[in-house]
Amino acid sequence: MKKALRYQLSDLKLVFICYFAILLFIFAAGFIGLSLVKINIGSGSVSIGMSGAFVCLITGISMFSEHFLMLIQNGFSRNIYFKSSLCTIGIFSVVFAIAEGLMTKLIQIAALSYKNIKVNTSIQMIFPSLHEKLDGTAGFLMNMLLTALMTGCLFLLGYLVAGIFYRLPKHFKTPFAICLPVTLFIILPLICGLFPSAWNTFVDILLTVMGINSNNLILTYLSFIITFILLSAASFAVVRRAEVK
Amino acid sequence: MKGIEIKGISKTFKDTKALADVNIQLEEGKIYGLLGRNGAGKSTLLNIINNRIFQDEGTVTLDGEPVKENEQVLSRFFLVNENNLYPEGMKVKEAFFWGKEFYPDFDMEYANKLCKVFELPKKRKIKNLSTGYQSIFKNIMALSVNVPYVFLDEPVLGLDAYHRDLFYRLLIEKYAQNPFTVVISTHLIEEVTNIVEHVVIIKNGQIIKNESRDDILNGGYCVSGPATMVNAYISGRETIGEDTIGGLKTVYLLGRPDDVLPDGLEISSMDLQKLFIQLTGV
Repeated sequence: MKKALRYQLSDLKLVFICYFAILLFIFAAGFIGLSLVKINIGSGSVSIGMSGAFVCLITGISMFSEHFLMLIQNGFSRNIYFKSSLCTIGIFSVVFAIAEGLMTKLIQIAALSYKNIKVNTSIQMIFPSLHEKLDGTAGFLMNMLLTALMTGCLFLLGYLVAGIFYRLPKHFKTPFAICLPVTLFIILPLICGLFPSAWNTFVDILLTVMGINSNNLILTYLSFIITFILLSAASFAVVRRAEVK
Repeated sequence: MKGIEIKGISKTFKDTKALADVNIQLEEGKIYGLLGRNGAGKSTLLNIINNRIFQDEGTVTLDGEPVKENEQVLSRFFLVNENNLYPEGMKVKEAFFWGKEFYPDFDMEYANKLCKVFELPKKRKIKNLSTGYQSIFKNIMALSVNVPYVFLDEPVLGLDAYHRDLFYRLLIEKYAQNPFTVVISTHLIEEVTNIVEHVVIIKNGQIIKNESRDDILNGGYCVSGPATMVNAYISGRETIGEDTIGGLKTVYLLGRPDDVLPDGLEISSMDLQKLFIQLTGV
């Protein structure tokens, strides 16, 4: 499995480097620009947590078929491919979370002279009431764990979606590709608008189960771990019978 | 038994029966020719052997070990086919690098040498290569991996005559140095007649011929001459096909010709391509 893992991690290295290089460039350019122009800027908060998670979602989508075809054609079994993919996602999510935590710290330091700019970690965005408690090393570690879990889940979600798309017969591929964004960006908001009370109840239940309403971090971690396990099981079912087309 | 054993393999795609109860054995250190018309089931069979697609029924084993999802076995196989399964942005030299990572016996020096011989640009992305050069790249991979079982599905697709000849010569050279099992699936039968040792002919998903090349070629002959004389000669003999041009007729027969032939008739040896056409024709 080591060889497969080395290949997958090596391939994703570029995504990692590009993403953080772009972030660094944007923030460096922003702060240098602000210091040169000396304009009054309005207050606001910044967090890079979610953007990283979405980068991982897209990486998961693009990774599935490329890595599957490359590894299967080089004598790897589907089991090894899946195990290697899970390890890749795990390692990538943890490294991503660490880098994101460090990046956030760097931005926080750079933004110290701008009192009206708040730089939040993912955990501070999700649990604003715990803002003060989540500073320092413990806060950094808890944020890292949460970011890694969120990143891992979204990465795996992308991987699963791509896997389902890959396995679908040709005539179902287009409807699937259309239905997914339509459901997310049209049908769901429509339901939310038409049945606000039902939607609010649903969101409330979800936030309670995830421990966000009660500020219970353990419950949040647990819900992400369960989601990761469920997504892994579903992904394995997809990979197990996938064929080279 | 040493080698690959294929037992009772069947595969159906929707309403098309691609393979129906296929049974063959592929021995170690032999060159096989897998012949069949378009859609006969050659690629399906090679894909099943290489664990790329799943069979509906039957088993494939190597030295008694099941092949399906078995990495120990699969690491001894290498299949080249017409599809480009390499990542979009991968360059030739990167593919060689990973070839070396995945196959410990991959001969990088030999691969580089073949790149020079075929004038394959190593810095070029695989997807940007022409069809012919993509075939060359895949053939170089196949010749450099040094695994005991190599499967070549249409290896000379898009190759000009010079490169085809070069490839066949290199294949024979490699085989002579260290024999390995090669299964060549191709439509250019005449070109591989002198390379293959064993011929497997597949028609509508079924194996209709599975014999050594020499047995096949010695097992039949062609007789040609005026139609009336040929008709008289073939009466009571087993024929597999015939061609008629004007008053001249050529008939393909199984068995051995008589020592003495009537004047006006000509005997020639069976040609693998002719035999293939006769056997696989409607």
